[in-house]
Amino acid sequence: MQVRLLLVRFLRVFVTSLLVAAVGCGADPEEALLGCWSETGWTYERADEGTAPKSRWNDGVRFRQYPDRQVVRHEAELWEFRPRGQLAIGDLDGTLDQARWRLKGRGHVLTIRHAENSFEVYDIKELSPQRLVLHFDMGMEVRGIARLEFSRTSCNAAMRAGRLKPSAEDLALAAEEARADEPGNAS
Amino acid sequence: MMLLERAEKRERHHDLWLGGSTAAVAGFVNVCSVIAFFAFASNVTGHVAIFAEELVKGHTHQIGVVGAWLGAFIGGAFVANLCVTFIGDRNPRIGRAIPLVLEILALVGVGYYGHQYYAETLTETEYLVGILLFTMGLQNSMVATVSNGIVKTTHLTGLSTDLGMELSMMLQQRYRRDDRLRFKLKLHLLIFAMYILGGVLGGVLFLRIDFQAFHFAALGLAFILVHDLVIARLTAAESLLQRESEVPRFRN
Repeated sequence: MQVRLLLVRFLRVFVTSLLVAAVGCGADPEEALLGCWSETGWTYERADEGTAPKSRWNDGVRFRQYPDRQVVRHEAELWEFRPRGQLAIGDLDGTLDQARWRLKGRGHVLTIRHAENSFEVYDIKELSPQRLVLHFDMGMEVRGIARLEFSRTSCNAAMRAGRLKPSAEDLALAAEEARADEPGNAS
Repeated sequence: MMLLERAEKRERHHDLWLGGSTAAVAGFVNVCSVIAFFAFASNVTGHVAIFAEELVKGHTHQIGVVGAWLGAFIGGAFVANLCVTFIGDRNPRIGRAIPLVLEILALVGVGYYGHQYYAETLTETEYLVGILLFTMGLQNSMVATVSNGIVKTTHLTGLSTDLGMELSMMLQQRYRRDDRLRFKLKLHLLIFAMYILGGVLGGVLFLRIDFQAFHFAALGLAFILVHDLVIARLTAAESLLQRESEVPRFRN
């Protein structure tokens, strides 16, 4: 009887410490997301034939049926998740969009707010050191109708290729370092 | 009195009022939580399923977070029951009022913090969802304990099952006249409807006034408390007057 009691007590302590350890030791999704991601695949689900009037959508993509949701098509882009929720999205033609990113829920929902106040929500289906998979979020119980796949890439290489530009903070930091490197300022 | 009434004096209309008002608050808080944090505040079944999913995927951070959320709900239920049964043994009204006061304070705190300071970091989100789950655990346990398990306002899976069973039984003549069954059906329909109504109200208010919407949920609970305290006072004064009138008066 005493052994059973001890076992129950041990299990209680074990489960509690496991939970505490898991919160403290697990990879923080915000940290894991930081850096540059290159878009390698994108799938937009096509609408079923005859499910919506043709005049309401012109390319057959199902999210046209959700006019209240802001949907931005992302294809072959390069995303840089910067600290303090800043996001830079570099397009293939070199245009750069600045946005704000946040994680919600248990770190499984990515929200992106653009400067013009449009808002995108994605479910993070996979986040590993080298791979990121996002599904366009249509609500808690509905499967995604757009799937974006990214692979980890070097931010320096992207900047050298002209697909990303340094942020104002990067420029300030570089200027500071340059000033410190000047012969007169050497300490 | 909806909440503070002693178990032996409880009547059906107490449970109807208590079930309706607290279900509206639960729906309100749940929808606000989904809009603000993309996480449910009262869907424990869903969180358990997610917990298992995260275990399978081996996401240690998420396992810890969802585990802590489940712990928060259970913790809330534990605290409420402890107050009602332990403190309630000495002073039933205070024992029942404490969980409600705690829930009001937590909701006001979430509303205030969210409106003033929330920078949408993941850590903040995780803590705030945890607090909301704690409040829902408090509420569900308090209401269930006070009503002897008749009323459960955040447990819609069980409620939907009961509702389906009761509707099926109402099709049969032998059950249709059962007063107890008719009351349960009425109560469950009311809870269901008020949960949806609270959810709609929460959604509309949150989209308009942001986190300050949580103050309205707190206000709803404060109404229950104030209502019960006023009724308690009036009842006490009435019985005092009655006792005084029964005491024989003697002339000097």
